[in-house]
Amino acid sequence: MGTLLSLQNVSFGYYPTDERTGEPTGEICQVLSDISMDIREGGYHVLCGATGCGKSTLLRLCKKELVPVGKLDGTIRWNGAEDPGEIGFVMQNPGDQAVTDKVWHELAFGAENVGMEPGEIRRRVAEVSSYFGIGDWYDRRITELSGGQLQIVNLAAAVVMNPRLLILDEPTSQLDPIAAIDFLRILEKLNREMGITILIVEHRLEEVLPTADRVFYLENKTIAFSGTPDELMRRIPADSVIYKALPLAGRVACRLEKDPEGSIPLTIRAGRSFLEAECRLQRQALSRSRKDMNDGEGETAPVLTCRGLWFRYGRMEPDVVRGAEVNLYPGECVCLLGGNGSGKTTFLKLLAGILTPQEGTCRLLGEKIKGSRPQIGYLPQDVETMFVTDSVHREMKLVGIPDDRLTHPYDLSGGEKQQLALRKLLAAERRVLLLDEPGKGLDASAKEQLGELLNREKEKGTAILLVTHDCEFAAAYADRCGLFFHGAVVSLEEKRTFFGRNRFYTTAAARLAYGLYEGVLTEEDLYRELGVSEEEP
Amino acid sequence: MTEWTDRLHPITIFIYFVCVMTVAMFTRHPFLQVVSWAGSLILNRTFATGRGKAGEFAWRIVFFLGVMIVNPLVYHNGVTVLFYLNGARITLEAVIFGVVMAVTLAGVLNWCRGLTRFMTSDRLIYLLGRISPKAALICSMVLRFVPDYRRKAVQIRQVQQQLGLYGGGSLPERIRGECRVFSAMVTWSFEHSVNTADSMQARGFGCGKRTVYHEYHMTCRDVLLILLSLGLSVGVISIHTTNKIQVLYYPEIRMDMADPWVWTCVICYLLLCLLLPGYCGLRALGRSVAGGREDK
Repeated sequence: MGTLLSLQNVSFGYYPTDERTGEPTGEICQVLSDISMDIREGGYHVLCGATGCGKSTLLRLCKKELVPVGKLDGTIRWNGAEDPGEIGFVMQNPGDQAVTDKVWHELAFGAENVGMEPGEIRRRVAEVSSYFGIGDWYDRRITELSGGQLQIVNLAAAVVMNPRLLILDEPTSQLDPIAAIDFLRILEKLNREMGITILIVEHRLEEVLPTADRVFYLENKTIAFSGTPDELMRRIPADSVIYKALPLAGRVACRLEKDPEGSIPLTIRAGRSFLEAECRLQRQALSRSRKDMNDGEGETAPVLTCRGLWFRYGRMEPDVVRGAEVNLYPGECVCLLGGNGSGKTTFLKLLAGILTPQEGTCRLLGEKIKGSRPQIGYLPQDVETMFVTDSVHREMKLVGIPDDRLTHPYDLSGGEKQQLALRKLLAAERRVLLLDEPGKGLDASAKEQLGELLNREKEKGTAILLVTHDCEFAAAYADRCGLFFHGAVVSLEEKRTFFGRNRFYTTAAARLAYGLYEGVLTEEDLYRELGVSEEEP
Repeated sequence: MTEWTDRLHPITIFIYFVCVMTVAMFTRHPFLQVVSWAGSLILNRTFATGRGKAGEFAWRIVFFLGVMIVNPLVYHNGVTVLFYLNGARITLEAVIFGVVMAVTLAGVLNWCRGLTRFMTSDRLIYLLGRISPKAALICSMVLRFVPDYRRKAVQIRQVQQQLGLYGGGSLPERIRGECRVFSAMVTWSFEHSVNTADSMQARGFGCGKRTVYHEYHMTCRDVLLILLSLGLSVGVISIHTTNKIQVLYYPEIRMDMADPWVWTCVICYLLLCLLLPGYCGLRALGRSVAGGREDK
């Protein structure tokens, strides 16, 4: 296979502007330096690295129309026609990329731009929509689609233009896990069946590494590693920022043997057969008694109780929340997991007092609450809706906290936005915190920061209720977990019981160890069972 | 509603409504008005989905009665005096003219309603695209962003309310809160439209002449409908403009009922008004017959 795109000694720097005056400072802020990489025709390439390490900039350099303003050195050679359709580009936020009002128009948009004949457009649109299975939404309005559907439409819109290379910049970070996996499957299919070359930046390495041919790891502004996923697993040091994001099966294998023979397992399936062999060797005594995570239920009174909440959006609409009940005790963190459209967000809004239930009551410290509830803090899924001014300084001044930063809140990274929103929220004393998908779109280190903040709040005695799709996060920081299904809380249990009993809604470690080692919930549990110490790299 | 007209070309629909409404708006002949009103009612009641709300219906009746009553109150011409109100003459002619006016307005409003229902956004964008592809694109983008903005404004307001920053008390406080939500929404839209612009550029926007993609085809039935609409409306208008039919309301109602021209004109217009409902009806009938056959 030939080289489709090659970058040789590419360096790139922005011209930063002064925060106060907005004038260019005359310096160059180097983002990338001395990058050389080849994109091979028909390959599946994954680019990874820490947040803010210049991955997006690197992707944009590959697409002529999107090259950012700045100082560019080195050569970028594109081995094909200079047609904009040759390289398809899919970005992070599904909603921002759609231009027109209907799905069919969105699919045709690119082809219209390059002046294709309507007959030809019709053929391609028809072909691509059947291939992607979007015939049913073809006539729908863009605003009616879910994030996952919209992202698939965005991908299809790029594919209509018959690209040779697809560049994707964290396409699944705003999607829930199920939609994300659907999206990645389609991508894999495009690569395998159509031979379309793919270059993707993705946080869900667990999902993409098994399919990837080649991985580039960006560190310190340059490509620190390039090679196959197998080589990456063998060579990456454990203290690397992306280590935690790598497939668990592979990490466990590498932890057990320094340089395992044969290929490194990257999927749960391969990991299980690897562990099975290991298990036969060890056959060690099973299951020590676990310390019970009793949080003093029954002794203390709950902070927030709600009984039999029912809610629907309109008189003729179906019920969204159907008799949901929950008790929140001080100093505990409760996680609700559940699929899209199960009414989780609506439930949180009811507790926060944004929506009023048609039936049922909420009690805060035993008292019925009506109207505004200053003791309850609510963090929306889209934290940008928390910001109403044009700088961090002014934003924090609204709640009476000094902060000197003049940056626009929108210019912060995902993790920083979340931190700012939480600080704004916690400026007042809160007895209860309600968080709607706080981990969405965050990288591992930002999630860790968030978890620490939650732990600090718990110690202060705040009760936390969070709604998430992220089993790993719930397993790490929750005390109790429950499934939100069909408008109600189902099986709210202590987290070890919850994840231990679940077969699907559980952590990767639990799935990996299912039936082999008992009581494994987190990665650390698994290592303990395997007899590998924590400190060992 | 599109169920019955989805195969029709936007131009057909456009021409049909222009023809019907031109006559409906300019004629003062009571028969033609009644025909127009009845036709529009059939179209809206039978083939347009999404009935109006009860409140809307009540409002229309009030409007209708208002027009009917106001005319005799301010217009005192006419020879048949019904009674005196505060010394002013209320005449039969003025009352009848008021009723005709009300029917005219109701008919035209109904046709407009039909137009907005049958002229879907896709059809509208296609027609605009014939004149200016850019305008069509902008129209499509607006249709996409307006609901998005509305939703975002609600979200921001809810969150700010929950934070207690939205001001619940006095009017100036509330205005300040609303301004804050508005400015946040504008910022949000600017911030995100940067991405939209990138996405447009990445898909080759502005790199050449745009074509307009559509899924409409002129078929025989489109041509037939257009010819019928044009023919019938030209007939009605030419009979009308050559003063073959005349109605005088003041000082005395004078109308030639026996004139064959009048009846020709009314029948032509009746056919025109029933053209689209008739088409929808035939398709509905055809479908039910086909469905019945399949059942067997």
